[in-house]
Amino acid sequence: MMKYIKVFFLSIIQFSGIIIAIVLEDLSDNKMGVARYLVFKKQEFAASYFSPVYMNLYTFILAGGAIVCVALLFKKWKSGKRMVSLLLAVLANIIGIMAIQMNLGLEAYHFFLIGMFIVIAFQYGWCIRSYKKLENQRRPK
Amino acid sequence: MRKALLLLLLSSLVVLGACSNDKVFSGKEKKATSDGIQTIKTADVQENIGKDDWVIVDTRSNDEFNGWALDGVKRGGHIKGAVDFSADWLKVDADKKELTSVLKTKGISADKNVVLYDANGKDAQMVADFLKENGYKMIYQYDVKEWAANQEFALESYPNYQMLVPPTWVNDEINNKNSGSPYKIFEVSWGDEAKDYKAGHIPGAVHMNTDEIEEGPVWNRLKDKELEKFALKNGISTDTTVVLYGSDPMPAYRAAVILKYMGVKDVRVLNGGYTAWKNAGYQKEKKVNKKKSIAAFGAEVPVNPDYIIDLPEAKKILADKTGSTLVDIRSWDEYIGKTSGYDYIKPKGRPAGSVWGHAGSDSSNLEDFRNIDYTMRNGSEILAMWEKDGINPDKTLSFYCGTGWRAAEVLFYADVLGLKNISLYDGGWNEWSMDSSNPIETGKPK
Repeated sequence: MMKYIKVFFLSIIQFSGIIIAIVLEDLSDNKMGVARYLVFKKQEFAASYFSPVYMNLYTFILAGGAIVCVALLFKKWKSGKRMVSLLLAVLANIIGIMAIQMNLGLEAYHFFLIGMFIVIAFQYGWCIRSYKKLENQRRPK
Repeated sequence: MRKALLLLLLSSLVVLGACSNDKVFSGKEKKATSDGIQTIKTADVQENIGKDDWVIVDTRSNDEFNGWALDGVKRGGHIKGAVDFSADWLKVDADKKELTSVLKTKGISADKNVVLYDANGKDAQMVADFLKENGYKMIYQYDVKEWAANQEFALESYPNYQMLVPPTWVNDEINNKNSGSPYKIFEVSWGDEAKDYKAGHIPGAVHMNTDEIEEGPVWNRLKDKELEKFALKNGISTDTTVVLYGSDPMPAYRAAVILKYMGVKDVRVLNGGYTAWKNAGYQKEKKVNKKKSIAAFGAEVPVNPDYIIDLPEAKKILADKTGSTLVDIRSWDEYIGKTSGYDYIKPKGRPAGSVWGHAGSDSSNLEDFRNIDYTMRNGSEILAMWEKDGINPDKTLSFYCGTGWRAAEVLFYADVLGLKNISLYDGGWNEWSMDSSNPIETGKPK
């Protein structure tokens, strides 16, 4: 029971960035202060952590991550082990790359990207956890 | 016994006679009203204007004080030397302490003889009741129609009082359809959601989103060509009478200043905003009215380029210390750099050389320029406030704030008061602070 509660709360934290971005996006339609703040942050982010150079870097990192996850997934699949978390990691990486490249025209765009990166980072964590679990199951007692 | 009764009667007559003598009136007859407020005659008002122990109070609406001839008066405006305390303020859902503080600011104190005047017979009574609750005793009532009927008696009105319109005027415009001339009424607020507009608006009004006239990240007005497109889309030409209002009046003033800059000849703002309309009891509607576009604006934008200035002109104003003043219309904390006032403006401070011109408690308020019913504050009080701040209305004045909203409202008031050589520095602190090479100051001015 505790295990499930722990997983639930960690999942909430994993998606908290996306939730915050959705809230900000919604508020930007109703609150001028939020809308103007997001315009300001967009400009600030675009000139710093989300400049074209950094965006390309993130794309490469996510592409690399996706490739590694696909390779691991293929290896595990061949040995008959299913790793759902790896599959989800691949998916998250691909969505992340699409979000970077498509520039969705959202007011809270960069907050969505930050949210995606948090999701992907957590997903890698889940993959490592699942991998360790599988390894423990494989080891003879 | 008979002698005693006669003596008692005589004594009573003597006492009554003594009580009826009034040293102030120097023998003139006064009439006591049934509720104890005395009516005062025109000659007595004239005689006592300007005396330290007398205060003449206009209890009518702010519009009538400003210059509008309503309620049957022959001439508009207020008695020269009178202060304002509108009966409308008593209807606002405000702390009574705020109202008593207003009395103090205007010098309406209980130790003075207070003459309350109106034109409808009701306003003065309302204010009198309020004063009596607060311990005032020397209260007199006067019908200003008598004063207004005599051309020899001075009435003051603001040179451009017609820019600020009362609800009755707007209602007449709707009923008379502006006598056939083109007119438009706009509810001005931020956003396409238009919550205020959809909750109820003046019949025939169209919603105007402030994002149609300005854009980030500097939040200056759009480029002139874009402004022209905005005008055409909204059916506005130079000859259109444009009436602007809002639940929060500030966006309406922002739009008004930009339209004037563009060249619209007749721009009006509803004094007191939508609340004034509702309090007047006029109809409202909820149906969404669509914009009706037109083909030509009628002039090249801008017709009045000096009405709104940008950074280079603002720097010239600062450089011209003898003839010009860049007036800061932000809260004191923003002016001294304690806060920027905005989530989206990081730097704090002010352009070096700017002079504080008052504003309000924060970036959304303008209490120093408004009455509690959101009508324009007494012009004499505004000018007196500026005189204390070292702001000379005869100089070239350019007003700025964070992004141009508060300053636009103050610019409009300055225009109503008839000040010349006035403008809005559109970029304000937001634009000024974006370039670190622009000189800034913080702290109290030396």
